[in-house]
Amino acid sequence: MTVRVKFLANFRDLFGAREMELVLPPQARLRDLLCEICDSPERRAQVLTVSGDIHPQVVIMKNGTPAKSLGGLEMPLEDGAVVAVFPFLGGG
Amino acid sequence: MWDKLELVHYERQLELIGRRGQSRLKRSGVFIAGAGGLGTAAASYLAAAGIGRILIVDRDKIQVNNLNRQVMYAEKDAGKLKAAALAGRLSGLNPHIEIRGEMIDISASDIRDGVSTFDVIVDALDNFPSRYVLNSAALAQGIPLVHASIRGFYGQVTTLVPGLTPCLKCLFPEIPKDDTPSVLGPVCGVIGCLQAMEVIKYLLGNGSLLMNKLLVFDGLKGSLDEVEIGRRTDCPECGGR
Repeated sequence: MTVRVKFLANFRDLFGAREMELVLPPQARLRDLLCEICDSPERRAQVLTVSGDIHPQVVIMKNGTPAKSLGGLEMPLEDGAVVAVFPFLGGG
Repeated sequence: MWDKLELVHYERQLELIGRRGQSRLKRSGVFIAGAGGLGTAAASYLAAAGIGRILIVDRDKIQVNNLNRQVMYAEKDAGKLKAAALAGRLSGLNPHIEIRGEMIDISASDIRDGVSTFDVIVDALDNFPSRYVLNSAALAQGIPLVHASIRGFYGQVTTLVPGLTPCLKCLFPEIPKDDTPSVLGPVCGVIGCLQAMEVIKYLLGNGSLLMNKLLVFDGLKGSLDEVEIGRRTDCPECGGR
């Protein structure tokens, strides 16, 4: 399957792209996608916690729905899905 | 009826929105939650534009370390209540509108009745627990909520309309541990002004609102990007309704 990943704000520099297309095996989950793109210690440290969970300051959405409500790292992916990665912004 | 000076105040926008539009703004009420970086920017432009009735609520007092971004206050205002100070300052900017400030801690209040007489709610808060309370009140009363938040060089804004868009809890079901983020003042200005623009567009029925999309501002790159967002049928707050 092919999945499109959009990077916003600081993640654009971190991944050196506005977006990328990834070809993943059928049945792939968010965990597999992050494993594929977090290919350096810096990328891993900014996206994942030491224990391997999604970093609390990172928002990941699939087709406009937060990954946290779709199973987190076990969120299933499907062909054509659009995954957005951006920082949690809480201030005002 | 229009006061002569009042019409001069709006002279440069009357060609754009007409007297009918100006009257619509004058008849409208906006509830602004937060008188910090976002709230000072949004409230300033809404007051200047002629929103007839504005209520600003905030629990905090002015501190000197607010002043890199909360530009309607002065160092000598330190210790004063923000909501009242901002309302006072803006009533000087536009004496033709009714503008009040109240010291309210939204996270510890039931504000459902308090927001019921307003046409739009502006989320200019600085923490998500309070935002969730505001979101519940907006849903209960069926009032649009113009959400925004910021951190560092980045900001986001979207207009959440009950029944037509996701609610705040659909988008951010969990939040990280509370902290005090660093922020550059102009980011608050940009995002607060976008909130004011959303409110004015909604009240006038002009243009396209930021509905079902989250606008993300990158101050370092000077770019604005959109993320499509959707309702969640399993949302514990709105149930996707």
